[in-house]
Amino acid sequence: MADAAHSPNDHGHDDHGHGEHPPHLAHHFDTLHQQFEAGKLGMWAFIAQEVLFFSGLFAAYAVYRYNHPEVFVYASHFLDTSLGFINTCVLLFSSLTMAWGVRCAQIGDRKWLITFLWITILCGFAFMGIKYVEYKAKWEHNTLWGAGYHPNEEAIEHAFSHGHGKDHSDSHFTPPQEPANVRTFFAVYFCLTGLHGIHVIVGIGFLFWLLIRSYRGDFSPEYFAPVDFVGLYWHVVDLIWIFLFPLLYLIH
Amino acid sequence: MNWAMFAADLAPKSFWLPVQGSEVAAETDVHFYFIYWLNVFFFVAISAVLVYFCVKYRRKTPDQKPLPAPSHNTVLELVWSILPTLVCIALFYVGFIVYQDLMEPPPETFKINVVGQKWSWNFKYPRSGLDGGNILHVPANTPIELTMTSTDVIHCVYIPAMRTKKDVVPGRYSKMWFNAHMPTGQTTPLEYNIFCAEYCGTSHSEMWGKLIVHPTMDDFKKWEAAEIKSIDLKPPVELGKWVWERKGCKGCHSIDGTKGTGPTFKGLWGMTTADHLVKNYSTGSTRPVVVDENYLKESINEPNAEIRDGFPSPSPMPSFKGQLSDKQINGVIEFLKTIGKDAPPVPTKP
Amino acid sequence: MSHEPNGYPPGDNYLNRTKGFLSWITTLDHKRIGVMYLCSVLFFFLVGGTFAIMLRTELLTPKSTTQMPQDTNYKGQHEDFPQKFLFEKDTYNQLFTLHGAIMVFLVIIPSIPASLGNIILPIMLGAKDVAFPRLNLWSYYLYIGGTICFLVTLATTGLDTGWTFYTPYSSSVEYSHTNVIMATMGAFILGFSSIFTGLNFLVTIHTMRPAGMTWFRMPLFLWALYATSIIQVLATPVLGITLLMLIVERAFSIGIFDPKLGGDPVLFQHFFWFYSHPAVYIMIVPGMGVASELITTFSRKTIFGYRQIALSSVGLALIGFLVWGHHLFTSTQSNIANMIFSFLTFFVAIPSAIKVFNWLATLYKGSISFQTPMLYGLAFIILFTIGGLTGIFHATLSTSIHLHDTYFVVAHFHYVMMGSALIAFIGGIFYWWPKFTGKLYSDNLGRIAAVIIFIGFNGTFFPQFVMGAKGMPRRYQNYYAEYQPYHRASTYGSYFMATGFVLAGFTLLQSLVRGKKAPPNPWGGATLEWQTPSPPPTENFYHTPVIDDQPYNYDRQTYLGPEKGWRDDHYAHEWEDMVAHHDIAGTGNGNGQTNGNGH
Repeated sequence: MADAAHSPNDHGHDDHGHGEHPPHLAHHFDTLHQQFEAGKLGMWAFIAQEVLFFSGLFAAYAVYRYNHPEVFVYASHFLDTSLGFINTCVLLFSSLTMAWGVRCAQIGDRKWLITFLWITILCGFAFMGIKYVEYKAKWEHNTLWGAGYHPNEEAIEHAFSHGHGKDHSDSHFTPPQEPANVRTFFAVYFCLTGLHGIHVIVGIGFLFWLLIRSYRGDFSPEYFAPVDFVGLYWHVVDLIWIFLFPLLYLIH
Repeated sequence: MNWAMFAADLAPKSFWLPVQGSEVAAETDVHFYFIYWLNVFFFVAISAVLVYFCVKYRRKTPDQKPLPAPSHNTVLELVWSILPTLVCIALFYVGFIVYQDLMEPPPETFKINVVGQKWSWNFKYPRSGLDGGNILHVPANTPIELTMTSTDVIHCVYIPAMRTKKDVVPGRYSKMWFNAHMPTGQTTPLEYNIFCAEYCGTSHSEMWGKLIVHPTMDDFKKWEAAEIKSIDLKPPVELGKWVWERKGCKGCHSIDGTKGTGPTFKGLWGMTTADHLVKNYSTGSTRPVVVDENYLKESINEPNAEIRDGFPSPSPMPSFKGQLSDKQINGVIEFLKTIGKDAPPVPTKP
Repeated sequence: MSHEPNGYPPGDNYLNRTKGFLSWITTLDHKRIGVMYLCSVLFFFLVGGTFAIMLRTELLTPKSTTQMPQDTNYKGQHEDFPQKFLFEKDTYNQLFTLHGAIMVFLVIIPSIPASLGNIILPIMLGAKDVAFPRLNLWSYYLYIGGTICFLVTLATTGLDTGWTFYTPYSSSVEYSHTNVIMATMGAFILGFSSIFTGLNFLVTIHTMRPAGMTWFRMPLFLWALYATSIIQVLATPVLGITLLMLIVERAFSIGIFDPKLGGDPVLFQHFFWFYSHPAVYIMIVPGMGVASELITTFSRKTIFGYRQIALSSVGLALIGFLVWGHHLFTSTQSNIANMIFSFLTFFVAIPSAIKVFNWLATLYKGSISFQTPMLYGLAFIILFTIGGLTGIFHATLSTSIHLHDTYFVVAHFHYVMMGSALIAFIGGIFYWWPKFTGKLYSDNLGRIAAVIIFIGFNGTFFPQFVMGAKGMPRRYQNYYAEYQPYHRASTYGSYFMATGFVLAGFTLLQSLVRGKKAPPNPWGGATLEWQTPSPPPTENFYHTPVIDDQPYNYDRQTYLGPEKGWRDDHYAHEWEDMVAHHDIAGTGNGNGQTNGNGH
């Protein structure tokens, strides 16, 4: 999306009578302001598109939760709330550093822009790392989607003795009755978090692209649009997680 | 107001619609023709105006200017916005009223269960336990309620004469009702078509059933008793042939050697390891198998276990496990023996 | 003679500025991208059309000789029908699936917006290009990516799910043995192509209008594209996620739509139609925009009720989001939901009716010329009226239940999608052809083709209304002999229509070889694209235009004969430059173009 802004090389053939362009103004725009407004509107339209893209899965979530509330209450025990919470914090913090980075780009502070981009990228990796730990546990516990859902004892104990398990760890443990179609929850869980994870990875890619351009010194107080737009994208990815966390982890 | 009478006057021999099998159908037809004439009116009016303007205001010289005319007129624009709105709301209201008749069965109904599977219907009568196959028999002037489900993909029961249809969805039960109407003086059963209206694969366009309307409940009960008796008393070969005809085998397996979606039944019995290769869907391995009782029984219950080489894998055939009684399966086997490899030629008319 | 404003050499235009295959596939010029879209779309129209003709040929004869029982209309057919199908059952199912999928995803949805819209929209706006030229090229690459997926589908096991991909048929390998994943992947990619095009247009219209062009001075084609873009950006992602879920379901049995794993197959239908109903407006609204342009230009008269037409496009776009449930009237949806969706569906009729009335009022006291594009414009009004009016049967619950999934629906949506959207597309091609190719075609051939298509179209689809009302279900290869007369009529109609399309194609191709040079404004159009040379220069105008009036002011125009076309006094400056550049036949020499007939 951020290709609203073109580097001068892309439109170098633009040599007929427009006079001197500012270096980052594409040939078909009259002013940098017009170009920025176009890019910004484009980004917002793209974000609207993203929200609707996710809305399909959220609608599926709503339908199944409305039809089978007991499945969601039961199955959310299998999710690790503390890891989810840490991930929420990591993403929130990365949003802060991203916003700060945009500010640095606006005032032309290249050194801090680069620093903040690095922190944001590391947060992105941290998020994905924690996600990996969670997925790995699901894999080991056989709590996957569809026919892959047949949790072993360890998984059930892990899910239901957690929290009050420490007080009477040796007393015999009876898990609650399992409702039908718990696998549907995991289908929704993996679709939602998987798609979100893909968005985080794409975001990290964009951040690296910004980083390269920052090292190259492309951004200035007159031209910081790409940083702004990637920032918007990153906030949306963050925002989606803010919805996912309570909807999936905090049911019981 | 008697809608049905009105409908009969309006469209005694309708050009547009199939025969009316119920009073609700007649009500629907009134509505259809009302919208139809409304459409005709608007279409003729619009076309006439269009043609008139085109002729009257055609350009005669290349640079002819248009006559002075306003570029908008608030009153006119309001009229042609509000008028269609009112017409539409009226249409919606009437349509909804008739729709309620179409959808809401009376409290007391005669219940029949329907199972849709590729590519046949199975109509079951819970009161008598009769398992009726692809032909739906009902008494006239009785509200009939169908409780329907599917064992594989989505199907749709469509009875044009009753002007009703409803999807048959796997994993849930859908309901549909109608009350077949019997013209006075009619003493023999009436026959209507049943179609599958939701695309369901290879033989979707041949998933045809029949609706037989018996004039009275007594007639229906007589038929039902006779049917139960005849199925029970059928010798195995006859029973097997009945299963073949009624339970959906016929759609894919011919008995005259024609290649269908599945292998023909002609000459199937008695095939040996020399000429009968089968493939296991899960393992993909191919091996020769003798066609005997065990093989046939297995193929009916688990179509994917041993698929004849050269036919689609996985098999499009649904499992008939639980759908056929042991007696019926035995009947099929006996029937197949009569048209087997070494059997004398038999007449192929079903 | 060597007056060269803006440094353009004489005879320079977007087609000849650079040459070679590479210069096309790496171009950022919206006109070239539009032309590439046009070629691709027309190619797939040919493919989808061929499938349609094959289907119609199969349906000439039923296999069954059984008559429909109890039918009062049965005329007693005793012909000997061939007992063999032309195609295998599975082949037939693939043919109608691919016909539908190709026509919807590869032809109609990109037809007007992505091809004609790309070529014309920035010029109509007086802009040099769309807001994001690279994104525009990327959309085209995505389109090509999607078409490759469809071609791979064709080359492998095909697709037999129906273009609607209903679950669980499509989501389980047990039921459909075809390459569903590849086809849905294709549709998914095409969806993003469509989203990016819409996004591009949305931003372009918002931020790049020329000085003086307020929202209500925008040509109606732009209003239509604006409304379309809103739908593309807001509805298509839902298709994207739905298809993604379908792919995941089929590949990993995730259990969202599969009833055997606790999923809900009907949920898919809701998701699918949440996009695919608005998609109908992605198809038809741009068509209405084209029709508005055609009717005003060829009546030489300001469009009647400009604001009403403009706002009704946006109205349609918005209402379009609220009516998807009318595709589920028979699929176990609750009666309350059916009632609400039926009620809302009726409101689609109002903006549609308003547009038709306004077009009629535009003709009133006009100076109507029946050149080829106008014939398509008039055909559009008639066919759209039929398509729209028959929609009332489907909105009304009582009749809808009977007509659902029959040929009545098939006829209805062909009147809307083909009779309206595609006819407008063809009309638009004939209208703007001289602009973007710089060539005039034979108007007589074009008119004959238009009449043949119009007659053939009605011959094909009107009988389908009759058999549908009589209960003929759609997607049937085999049928009762009673329906045969209608099927026959329909098939013969389709052959006739196909002839018309071949002739129309011939007319256009012939113009490329032997056509005369087109003047800047051959029809007397008032919008901006006619105030620049045909074909336009790379950056569209010699001077950035300034707008001071509503878009359809025909009073300032003078007719200078067939070779020079029409001149607009307001853009006299531009005209002088065009004369200086030898863009107008007979006003210069040495630009390498054919100068009319020996002037």
